[in-house]
Amino acid sequence: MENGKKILSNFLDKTSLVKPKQEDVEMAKQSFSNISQNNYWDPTNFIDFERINKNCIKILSKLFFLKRNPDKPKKQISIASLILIIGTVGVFLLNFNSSIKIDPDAWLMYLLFAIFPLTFILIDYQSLSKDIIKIQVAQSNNFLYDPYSDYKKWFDLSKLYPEIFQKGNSSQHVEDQFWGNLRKNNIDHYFYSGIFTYTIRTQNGKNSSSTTYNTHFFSIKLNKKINTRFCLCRESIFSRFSKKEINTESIEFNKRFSFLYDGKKSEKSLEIVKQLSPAVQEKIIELDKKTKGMNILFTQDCVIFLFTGFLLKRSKTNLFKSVEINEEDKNFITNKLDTLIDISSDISHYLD
Amino acid sequence: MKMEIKILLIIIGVVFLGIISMFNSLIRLKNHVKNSWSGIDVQLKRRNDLIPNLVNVVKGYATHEKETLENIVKLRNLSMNQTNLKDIAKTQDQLSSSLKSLFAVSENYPNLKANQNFMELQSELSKTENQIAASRRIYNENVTYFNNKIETFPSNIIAKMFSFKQADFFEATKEEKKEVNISF
Repeated sequence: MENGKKILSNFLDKTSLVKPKQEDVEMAKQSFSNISQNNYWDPTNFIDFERINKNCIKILSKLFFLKRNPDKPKKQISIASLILIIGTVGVFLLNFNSSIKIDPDAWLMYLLFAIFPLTFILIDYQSLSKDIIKIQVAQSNNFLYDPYSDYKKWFDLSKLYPEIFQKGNSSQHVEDQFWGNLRKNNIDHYFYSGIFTYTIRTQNGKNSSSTTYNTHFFSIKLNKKINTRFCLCRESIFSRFSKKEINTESIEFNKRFSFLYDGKKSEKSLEIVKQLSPAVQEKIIELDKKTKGMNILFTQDCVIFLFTGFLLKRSKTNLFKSVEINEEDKNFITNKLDTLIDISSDISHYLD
Repeated sequence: MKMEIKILLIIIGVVFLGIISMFNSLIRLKNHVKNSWSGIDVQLKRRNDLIPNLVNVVKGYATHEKETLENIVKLRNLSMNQTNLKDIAKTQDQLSSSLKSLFAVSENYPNLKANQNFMELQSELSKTENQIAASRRIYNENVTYFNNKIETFPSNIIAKMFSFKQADFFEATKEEKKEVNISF
């Protein structure tokens, strides 16, 4: 299984449309400053600096290649568009020529083949532009960034935090990982963030279906240890029947969240309510309003937030127009991370 | 049993269940208001416990701030004996302002500012102030929920039947807020 994933990853890498030369790699190495290994935190206590270095240089060398060859994306998309036009015209011409009889399924396949290069190019460049944006955000804030899928990290995280990471039954991995810290109120707040992707495959007789979910997680290291472990989940009709209900003093908070924890309610409720002081509740509600739904895990040494979707869904950067990153995209990610760091550090500050 | 009687009994049953549900909901909200008040109370007590330590530390360094310190002690003692919500809110506002002013004037005393105890107390008090503000907002939010329930149809009928009264917000009146003017 692991080998299969590696093969797929290598395949995607090799089929990438941007193939940097050695000089691009050298320039990328020069621009990628040496990362200090002391200023970051990871809940698994392991950061693969070598992998991060390699991956970032890989992306940056593509950027340098594109800077040297700014017309390359335009040329590639023009060829792909031409293939699509010729394909579409071809299908129509064959359709009008009644002497040639082609199966409708074959036409559809023909059209799909014609549309494939264009789709591939758009996806490849969109993904590259997002990675470049995130690397630049990481560089300007002194964060670490790893764009590629990390299966081992998911495995380690799922052992430590099953409430958050033991989901799905296939293709679980983390990607788009950020490590960083921010100094606030004379205290360093260390965070680790990423995208957790998982697939749920269901088999019903001969029919099988699969759905892939993308979730954004953000964890912050606590400066003090808390004695309890619990999960705050978005309140729903179903959660009313499955969770052991605890009420805080805020009606608004109780309407939004329900609790998930091990052990008896009588033993845990006091400890949980103690942690969720009024200021913490307010901050959580504030974050929930901003993110439209989230789950939170409070553990001994960190708090992990889980949101649906990506950090950046659609980028405004268009590498086909120019090899420049749209400032709005950078600001979007920076602001999103800033808000998360700000609110989560406040939550950490007020935990007892 | 006739059909009409059956229907009537069903309607009476539904109305009865509705009354029970609304009554219980009002009781739950009332308890939430009480519970959130105790949240404020805990934070106020915490602040009142910290004030004597702060006064003791400041006394040794800022001898010229005797009046300010006396005012803080006076307000603290006053707040401990009050029972009326509006009076407590007014005193708490004055106490918060006095503490803020004290921390502002502490800038003039470098030795005090550098004192480890003072720094810890300042940080703890500012944290407690924020907790009080948050508790207060939660309490007032709960009061809004409760009062809305009492005023809106059909729960207003049940509220009247069982003499539920509107809860007071934890805030000083506008006139009282204007009175908070402490000069140094």
